[in-house]
Amino acid sequence: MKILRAELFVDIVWLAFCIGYIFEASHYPSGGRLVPIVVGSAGLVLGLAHFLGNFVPALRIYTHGVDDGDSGPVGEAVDYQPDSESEKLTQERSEPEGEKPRYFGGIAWAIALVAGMYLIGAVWIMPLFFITYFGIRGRRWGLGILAGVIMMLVTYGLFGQLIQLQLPAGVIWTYIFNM
Amino acid sequence: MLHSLVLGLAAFASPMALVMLLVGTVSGIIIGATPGLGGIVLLSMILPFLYGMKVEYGLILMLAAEGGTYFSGSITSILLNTPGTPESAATTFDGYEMTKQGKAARALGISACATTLGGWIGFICLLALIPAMFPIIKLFQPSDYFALAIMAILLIGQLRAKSITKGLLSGILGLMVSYVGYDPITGVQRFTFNTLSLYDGFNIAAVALGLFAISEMFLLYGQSKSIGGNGDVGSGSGSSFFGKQPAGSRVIDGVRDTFYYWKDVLRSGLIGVFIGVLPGVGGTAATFISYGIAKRLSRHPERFGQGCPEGIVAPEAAVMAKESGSLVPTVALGVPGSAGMAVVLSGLTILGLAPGPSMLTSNLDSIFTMAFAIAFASLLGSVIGLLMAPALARALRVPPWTIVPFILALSFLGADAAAENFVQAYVVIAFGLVGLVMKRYGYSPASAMIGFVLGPIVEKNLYLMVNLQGMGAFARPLTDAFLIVCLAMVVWPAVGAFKQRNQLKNNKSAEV
Repeated sequence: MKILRAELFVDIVWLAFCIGYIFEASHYPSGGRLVPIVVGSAGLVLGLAHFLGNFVPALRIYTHGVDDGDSGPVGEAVDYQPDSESEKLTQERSEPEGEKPRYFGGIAWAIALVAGMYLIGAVWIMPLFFITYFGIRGRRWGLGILAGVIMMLVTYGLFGQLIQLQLPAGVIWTYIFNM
Repeated sequence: MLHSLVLGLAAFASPMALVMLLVGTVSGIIIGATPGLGGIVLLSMILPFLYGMKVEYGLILMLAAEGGTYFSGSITSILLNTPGTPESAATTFDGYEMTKQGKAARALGISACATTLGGWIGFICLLALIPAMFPIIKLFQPSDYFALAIMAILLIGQLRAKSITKGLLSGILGLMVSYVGYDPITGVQRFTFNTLSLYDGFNIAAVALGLFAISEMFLLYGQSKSIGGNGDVGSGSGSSFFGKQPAGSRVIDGVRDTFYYWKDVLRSGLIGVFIGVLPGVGGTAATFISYGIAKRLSRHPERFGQGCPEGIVAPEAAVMAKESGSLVPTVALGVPGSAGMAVVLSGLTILGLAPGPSMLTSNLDSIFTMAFAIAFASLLGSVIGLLMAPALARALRVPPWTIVPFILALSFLGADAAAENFVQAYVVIAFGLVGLVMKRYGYSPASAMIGFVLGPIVEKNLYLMVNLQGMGAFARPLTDAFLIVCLAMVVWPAVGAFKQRNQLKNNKSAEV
């Protein structure tokens, strides 16, 4: 049931996105709004059909696919019938406990890295990030230190010096040095 | 034509070009051997580095990287029964069987030789197809380009997504996102909400990195089990495959096998090229179709699946030849022949090339450089891949989550390098989340990427079609043909789904 609810949520977000998109596009001059409105409307109509697939079992095969045994996530969402058998099926097809937070773990690490690059700079965040990551995720502190040093050198040498990229210096340092 | 061909080859005369070829091929081999990280992820990661790079170096790097993934994908298929890339799945049938029989080196020899020969067959076909494209592209008008672009989005969406609407919605999402930023027709800013960093739209490299690389990292983070198990690589375990092997199990025996089954190589290569030319029909289809045809035409079809050399020759020859085939619509029409080519198309744009008919006339030498890059990468990839095979198999014992921080860091730095604007790092995360949701619920990030790349082409040609051709556009046979294919792409799966539904119903009633 969790997957079905999540899919329904995705469908609602899509519909809201299309409506907002068309509304925004309608403010542009005729030459600039033609294609966005056409594409947005197509997205809205299809999105509505897709949304209906959550409630009309006959539509689900077109909107959510067929469970072919190895079809992955979509297969998990098909054959929605409000009876105990399908409840059981859906439960069986749901992800194992603990897998979902792992996605969030990956997302959290990505956000932490970007935030770190913004706050303390791209060069200095590398050792900190790699040591923390390998230490917390796998208790491999030594590997973390090695990877962190290598990535710091890559960031400074390759991106900073060779490509001459203006790396984020870190707002904290900027704030301290400007005080 | 001949002048351009020579210029295309001359691009490899500088040491830097050879370095790019080597770097691209080796990175392709490493990434290709890592399940979950295919050619698209690697190409996405290369995109940011193309800014400011010399055109020929950029082309060689991209194509060599794409080419390098294929043989290494087969290494894991043969040694570990785990396809490194989806295209290598058909190789597991007979490749892994040979490994179990202690003939891993021979299977790798077949794979390496067939991949190389397939690459060269594709290269020769490409040389023949390019001149043939000149009269064809002259027939194209805006309505044809518009219909062709829509067809490409639909084809890839329908083949990669898990339902009809999901495929279509994925393509539409890509189109919608591509219209963010400056509008070349009216000059107004669209969907930017006065955000300065969005005035040029979303950076193509940031979108590709988010949809393919970052979303894959979110998925890989959750996997704690190593891909390669204990890293047992059959008879070659722990030693080089060029070491002492009994007669009949050596790499050279595999090379001999490939030449013995030259008809399979030629046929599969041609099938690969043909399938590559068709937009959307990916390499996986090419390998399975080649395998199926080889089995049907074989004198000993019963041996397939039991360690038969023909069962490796056919898919391996097709996969690299397909790469050359898919280059044809990409460069000649500006419509990518595959998901990987959509990223290559983005790379061409970054390098300042305009894929499409003008490229055939003004940058023909660049097209030949790309063709040569595929051919050379297929050879180099096979040789280096063979040398690296045991090490790659052992490296796969590393748990996937260890790759995650490296890809994350390089992606954010790459996005920053691409746009020289740190805001693109946020764009990468945003599209990473979109890509994760799409993969999680069976949508097609590849279709979204193609929609994003083709968005401006669709807009420009629809605008020209409405203003120049009007309703007369629908009187053009070429436009009509493409639109009929588009319609078929929607109706055909719907009919298939309807039949499947009836079958499921019948099965259920039979069970009751």
